[in-house]
Amino acid sequence: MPAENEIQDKLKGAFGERISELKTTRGRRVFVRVPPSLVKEVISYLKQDLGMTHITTITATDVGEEIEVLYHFLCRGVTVSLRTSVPKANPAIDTITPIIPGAVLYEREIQDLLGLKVKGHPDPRRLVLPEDWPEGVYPLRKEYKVKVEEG
Amino acid sequence: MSVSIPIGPQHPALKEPVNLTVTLDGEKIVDIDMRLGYNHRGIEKGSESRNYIQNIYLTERICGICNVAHTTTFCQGVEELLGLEVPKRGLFIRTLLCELNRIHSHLLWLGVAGHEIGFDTLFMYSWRDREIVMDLIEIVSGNRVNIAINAIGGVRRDVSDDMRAQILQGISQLEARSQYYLDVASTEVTFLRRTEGVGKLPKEKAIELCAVGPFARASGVEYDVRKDDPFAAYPYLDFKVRTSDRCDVLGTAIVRALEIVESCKMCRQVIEELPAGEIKAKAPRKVPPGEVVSKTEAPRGELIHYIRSNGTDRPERLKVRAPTLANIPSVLYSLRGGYIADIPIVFAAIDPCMACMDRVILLDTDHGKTKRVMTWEELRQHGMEWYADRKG
Repeated sequence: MPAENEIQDKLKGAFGERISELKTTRGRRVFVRVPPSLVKEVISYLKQDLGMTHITTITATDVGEEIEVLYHFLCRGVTVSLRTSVPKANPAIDTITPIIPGAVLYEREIQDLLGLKVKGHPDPRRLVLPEDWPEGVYPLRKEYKVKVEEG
Repeated sequence: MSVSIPIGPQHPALKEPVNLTVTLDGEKIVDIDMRLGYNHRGIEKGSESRNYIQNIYLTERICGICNVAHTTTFCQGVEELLGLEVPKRGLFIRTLLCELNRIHSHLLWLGVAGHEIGFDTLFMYSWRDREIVMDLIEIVSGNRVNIAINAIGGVRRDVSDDMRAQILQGISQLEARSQYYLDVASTEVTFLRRTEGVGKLPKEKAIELCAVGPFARASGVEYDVRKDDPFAAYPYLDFKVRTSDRCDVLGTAIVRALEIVESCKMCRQVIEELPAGEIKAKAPRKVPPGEVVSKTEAPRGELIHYIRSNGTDRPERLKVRAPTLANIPSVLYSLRGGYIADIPIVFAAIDPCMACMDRVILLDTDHGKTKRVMTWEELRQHGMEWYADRKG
């Protein structure tokens, strides 16, 4: 059985109805949606039961009323993208750095650029934005417009 | 007693802006912290207001050295969203350029590494030989640096029989030279004394901190996107993933030298087995809604683009993670406990590319007020007034 089908079956077996939108878009690509409260549990399962060790990055996207977070893991040669959404009015999510230390900078990056508060992060300082960047302005949110100036 | 010293963002030992705060006990590094972002240019944001064709050229400019890796990742992602099949000849030419790009990047790295350890002869040699591969890149693409070879659906320029002969000749020269560099990296006393046992990164740590590329392979992590998630023409090619179990800077040099040898073999195979046919499929301008995770192996390691389309000619979101960012936690680990004099070479071991890593910045909002961006004329005027005030 190809690895992506195996991962899909295992996730379905372990979490059943609690996860949704489980799909394989092509060979070596699996997407799955989980509620924010289940993120840590699913990641721990991937790590302990399926031998996942590598996080490639975290993508956060402003999708209107919500901020969508996609964790891209590498698990048995398959890129597993774990999707969750948090309300934009109060965007906060638990840190996964204690489970997978490689996530430390990616969490800081989304915190900077989308204003997604990462709760319990060991080092929540700014990563890419400058020191004099105003509080509460998040450049990758859709309401942030880039002004084009000549010069 | 320990002392904290800042290095950078502007420092003679750094090639690109980054700020290190090093805590020292005598000559030993007790702790090290890094501040990034000095080169953030807002590319992810910028991509949302550009169409897919413009975005090929925008992603090309994420990095001057590994530009082929970025455009390949972007184009193959869009091709997947479109369900577009790229002609085999197009894939082979794309792969050829990826590998030539890797040879040029690794030779460039070898020169920088030589320079960082005070071995400037190596720097002169490897950059001279890098001209061979730069010329080959120019023969195929017409450019040396940002080569603009990729298009959605294939590549923009074909490889003629005449070019094939020239490339084969250049590759033979490079193969001979790469053997020489392999000898230097494994036997030259100056090189060994400055790199052996320096910047230790054990395999478990490399895995735990999610290191990628030659840096991770030098710690015995056998992960290479070309093998593990094959793209372009890599499924048709015969090559080995080179690793080392040395877990130090010397290991990264050996892995890169071996990779140059492998890349030369791959280029030769591509040229010899180049299939006939078209080089590009016609692509529509609008992309149906969807999302894709596109990965390639850039010269510095695993590169990922996540593209989400919304049915228009512009992406809804483009997320880029360049390999340098992935290697920062590991390189900070390997710097700890070492000597301050080794910082440049240990840091160089990941072949850092700040421009790749920092993508998003330069904005002009300051507490709701618009911060002024000066025009060239205004800046000139400001400069003259500034000096006039001080000199009277």
